[in-house]
Amino acid sequence: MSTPTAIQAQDLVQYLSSLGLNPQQISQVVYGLYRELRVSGSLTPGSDNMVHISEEKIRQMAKDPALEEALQALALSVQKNKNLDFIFQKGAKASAPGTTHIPQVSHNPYESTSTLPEPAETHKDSVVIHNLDSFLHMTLLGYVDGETIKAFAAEQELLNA
Amino acid sequence: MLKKIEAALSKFWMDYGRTIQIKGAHTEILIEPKFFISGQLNPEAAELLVSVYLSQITPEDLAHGKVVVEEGTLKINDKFGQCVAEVHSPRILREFASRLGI
Repeated sequence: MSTPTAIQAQDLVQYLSSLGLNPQQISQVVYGLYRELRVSGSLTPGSDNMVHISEEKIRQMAKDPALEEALQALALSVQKNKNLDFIFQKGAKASAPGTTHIPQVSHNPYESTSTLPEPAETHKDSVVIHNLDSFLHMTLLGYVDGETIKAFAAEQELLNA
Repeated sequence: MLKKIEAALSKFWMDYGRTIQIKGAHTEILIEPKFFISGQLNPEAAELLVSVYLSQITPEDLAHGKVVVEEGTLKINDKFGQCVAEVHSPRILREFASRLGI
């Protein structure tokens, strides 16, 4: 393992560019550093506000497919939810918003590849039916006769009572 | 009775192009939702029923109070003026309002 280099946060992107990384890889490494910083805090020994990281580690992060996947999942999730509240939440283990954790497929040290975006829109409560009998009469009458609807609604009422 | 209503909903679902057909060489699979979940009408089916019903509503029906839109809610009333269902889906409300120019 090569010796860690101490880099000022504001110089980080220039430093990564100097290593020949492309913009996608730079984003990926910045995200990877951010994750490590949150998880272990080990990148700023002595709290000197500098990022201590070796070139080898940077190249490893730039090529890490799990990290790439995690970054994409996070970006998609935030775009979909348009919610940045998670940024202000405490705790290193916080998942990206709008994601569901699936422990059995968790294999990634950067934690969020094991997440799936939740459905964007829910149909729950979009239609509240107060009278099933009348509702079906008004909407489904061409497909089934009125007597059947009436009997069915009465049956449902009994079941729900 | 449930079977008859489910069959009617299935036909309705198919007529409005929601059924997914997977055709193989020797088989064909139709995918449709479970129309009643724990005794309640599947919300997706309810949405389709409402959308189709609203597509037939005329400005006269609106004037007669068959449908009332107020504060982001659309109420579907029966012939006695009793509220049968409430619609909160922004998509359905938007489509209805834009069709009737409300």
